[in-house]
Amino acid sequence: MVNSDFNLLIVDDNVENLKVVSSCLLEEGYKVALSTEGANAIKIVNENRIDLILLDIMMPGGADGFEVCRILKKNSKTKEIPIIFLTAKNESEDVVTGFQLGGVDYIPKPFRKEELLARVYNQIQIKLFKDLLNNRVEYLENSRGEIMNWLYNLSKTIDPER
Amino acid sequence: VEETPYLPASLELDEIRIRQVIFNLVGNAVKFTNKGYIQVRTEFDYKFESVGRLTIKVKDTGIGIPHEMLGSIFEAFRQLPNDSNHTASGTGLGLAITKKIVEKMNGTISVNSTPGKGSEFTVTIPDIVTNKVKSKINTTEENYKDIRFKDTVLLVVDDVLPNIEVIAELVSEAGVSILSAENGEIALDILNHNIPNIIFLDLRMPGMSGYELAKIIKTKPEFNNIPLIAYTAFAFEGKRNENSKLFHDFLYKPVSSNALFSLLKRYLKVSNSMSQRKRNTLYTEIDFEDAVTKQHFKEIRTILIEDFLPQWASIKDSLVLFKMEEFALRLKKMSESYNFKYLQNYSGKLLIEIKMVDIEAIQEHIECFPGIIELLTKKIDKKYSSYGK
Repeated sequence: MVNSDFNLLIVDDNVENLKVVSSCLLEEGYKVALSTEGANAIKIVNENRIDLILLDIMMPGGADGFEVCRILKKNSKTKEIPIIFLTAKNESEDVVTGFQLGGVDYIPKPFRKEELLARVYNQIQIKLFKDLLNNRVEYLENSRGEIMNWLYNLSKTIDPER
Repeated sequence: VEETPYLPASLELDEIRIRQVIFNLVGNAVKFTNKGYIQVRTEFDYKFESVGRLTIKVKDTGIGIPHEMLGSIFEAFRQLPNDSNHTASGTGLGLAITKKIVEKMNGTISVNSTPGKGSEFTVTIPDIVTNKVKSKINTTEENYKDIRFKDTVLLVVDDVLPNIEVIAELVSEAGVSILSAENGEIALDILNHNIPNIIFLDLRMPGMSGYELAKIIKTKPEFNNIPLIAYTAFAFEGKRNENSKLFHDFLYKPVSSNALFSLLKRYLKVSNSMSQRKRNTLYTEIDFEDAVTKQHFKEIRTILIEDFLPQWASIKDSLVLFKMEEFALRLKKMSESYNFKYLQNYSGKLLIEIKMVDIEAIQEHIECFPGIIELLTKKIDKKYSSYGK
């Protein structure tokens, strides 16, 4: 897997922030989608395969970051997508709320490029391992079922009297 | 840089050689100086009315040269004894070559140095003829100050960082963004995500050479139209013919702004409006001088309406850059297959704006798209009616 295999969505009402964050990520080869408001962000998530969301909390009008997160976590199709909150004011209350709502991490603004990239990288890795694990579990369950089935059939062909 | 007030406006000198001398000395000074300054001074002493002696002094506050080395530094392959703490490196030929050049001009070169405090190199060239005419170079250089290129991305591949910095410095005001790579692998990686308008390749690099890199780039159809420029030391000019098929042009080190800009002007679009971008008027007319036949225009219109318009409608309202990029790339490929410059240009610009995350420009450009189809239709109709007469 390379960075260009991952689609990242960045949501921030401040266009300059969008540019800065997305430039950092594009430099690393990630694919990006941008949105300046909540409703459009949800639309993008529903219409595209998004692997990770960077979500600003404070957004005027409409849905703020928390609201977007709530909506995405309610939908079974989108609830597994990891969300990293971008917090302008480093208020511990916001951070706690973010985690309670299912956010996996937060990046206080203004951020350092290296910190942003490291946190994104970590979440991508976790997602990769999660996906890998899920595939593995599914595969093992299937093969277990096959074996049980095979044993069952075998047991019927053996005559217990002999 | 300090000039004596008496320096004549113009001297009759071998421009390339004297530049090489100064470049070597200043380059050395930069290499061995971690803090402080590097000073370049020129003096001119008249012997007769129009003949005199030129002195160039390059002084640095670097690590200096040990006394026992002073006598031999102009010999080939003499460098500071292994000093693992220091980052300086080089071929060991710089000063030897510099000395040879100076001597060929009947000049002398000498050095004063205090270890730990710095060094001063002095080059003296006698019997130089002065020229009253203001040099041609100076006036053209002034003109280059005003040149702006349109949304241009330049990729420079060179293992020696200062060679890249020189270019970056020269084009910094000209609307050119620089991508840089220190070796072929990094360059190819950059090319995976970026389509520059022009590429400069150093020929001699550790690992993949500029030739090998150029060959690889040539095999990729999406880079077919990008001019490849060999960025090479003047000394290797003899090889020019051998490689002329691989490269569009040559740029010699040490590079002058003159050579650089006249080369860029040959391959890039010069922007007329220096500061204001006239985006909206950009799409009001389609240049039908393109090498596209009437029949092909109709085909293109059909493809645009049936294939591209639905995709456009699905991407236009959201800034899903990876989809926009896909759209622009597909459009670029299609227009290239018809050699339709106008659309090539449009999609190429869009791709750069996406790379640069120029959100306003992306939105404006994307909005233009149906307008292009409309204009195309109008032009086709017009052509048909005039042919009908």
